[in-house]
Amino acid sequence: MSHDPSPAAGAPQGGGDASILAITRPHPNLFWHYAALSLVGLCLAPVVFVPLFFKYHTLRYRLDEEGISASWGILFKREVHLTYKRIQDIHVKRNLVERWLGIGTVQVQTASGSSSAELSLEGMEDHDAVREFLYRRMRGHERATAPAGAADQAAAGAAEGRELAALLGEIRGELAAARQALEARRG
Amino acid sequence: MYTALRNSLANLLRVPTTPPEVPSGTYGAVEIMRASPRYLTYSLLGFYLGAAITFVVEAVALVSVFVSGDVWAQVLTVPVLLLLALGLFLKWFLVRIDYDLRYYVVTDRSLRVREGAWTVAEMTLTYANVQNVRIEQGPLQRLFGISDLVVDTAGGGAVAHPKHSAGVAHHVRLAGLEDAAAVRDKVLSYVRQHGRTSGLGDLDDAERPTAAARLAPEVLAAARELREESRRFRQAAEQAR
Repeated sequence: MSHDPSPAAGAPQGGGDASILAITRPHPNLFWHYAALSLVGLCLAPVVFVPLFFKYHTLRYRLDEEGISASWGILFKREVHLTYKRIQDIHVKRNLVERWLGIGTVQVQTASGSSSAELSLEGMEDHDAVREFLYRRMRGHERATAPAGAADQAAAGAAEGRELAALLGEIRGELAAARQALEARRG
Repeated sequence: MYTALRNSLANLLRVPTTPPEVPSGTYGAVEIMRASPRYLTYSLLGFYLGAAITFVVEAVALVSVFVSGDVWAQVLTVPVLLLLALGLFLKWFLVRIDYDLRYYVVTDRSLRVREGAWTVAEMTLTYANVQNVRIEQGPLQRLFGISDLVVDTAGGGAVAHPKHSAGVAHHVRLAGLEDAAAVRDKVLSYVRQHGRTSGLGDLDDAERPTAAARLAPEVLAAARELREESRRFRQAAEQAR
């Protein structure tokens, strides 16, 4: 039985952000992780395995400049979208089976009411690189600083404002003098 | 005995033996903390209490089996006892290795906690998202002089395993700290340094503190021209007199 329908399966190793943005499928070993998970169900294993089988085969990820989306399911379809800016915390979880298979799950949490992860990137081969990729897009990963020379800019802006006020004052004075001259001629 | 066992099993269990990586970036301060050795004693005490209860139950069951005189039941006790012993041994090993695998990475911008043995979980959060920080200490923990520091981010949900943040999103627990108050002060000062945003991903915090608005140069030039023009107007009015 083939468990690897996509030629682009799995996380490419190494590389920078480009290799992470290119992730569309979990690593093929996720199939065996699901198989092991369903074995825990003992005699219920086939029942447990069927949805996991379809989940593995339909699972698709998309990472872009704005956020992540994941979709899976054949009867009941699921699609999750979230933006990097809304990430609250990132968990990397690897159970014994995942460690044996050399994969990991990256769980992404946003500020919603559920206690479970809002989006799980299962079957990540390079889970630490995926985590750092997400971390660098999270809020607060670098300190917010005022732009260089902000104080100078503020001082210059204030000086210009004062100059404008002085000019307007002079204009008023000139106009007042002109009005007085015109009134004197008439009267 | 434990160390030898752990070293031989570490490869089989594929547990990480090095401290977790510090989140990428440059930091003013990075500190890698461990749980207090007293936390290990505290965890082992919990294990021994559980084991003692198991022994009492087993002893009662054994006595009743031998009193009943049922030969098959007596034969069955052997594998059951072996299984229980194995389970206890496994539990003891997990308590020990859980302590060894526990790491808390505190930087001035983010927090990373590693815990767990069956499931090794690493949780990362930035202070921009911290909602509150709390310290928890039970009576036994007070006896040992340790406490837990819990850092919450926004979001909720049922707490399945309150002692294990691995199962729960939206918070991390730095368990078994000797001086939780000092770590709390440090974390709070970092949170304060970060600024006071709601921590809910406000898009406008991308805008950094801005300078006072500069005037467009055309505005000042137009004002100067207007002044010259009004001066000429006044002079014309005075000469016409």
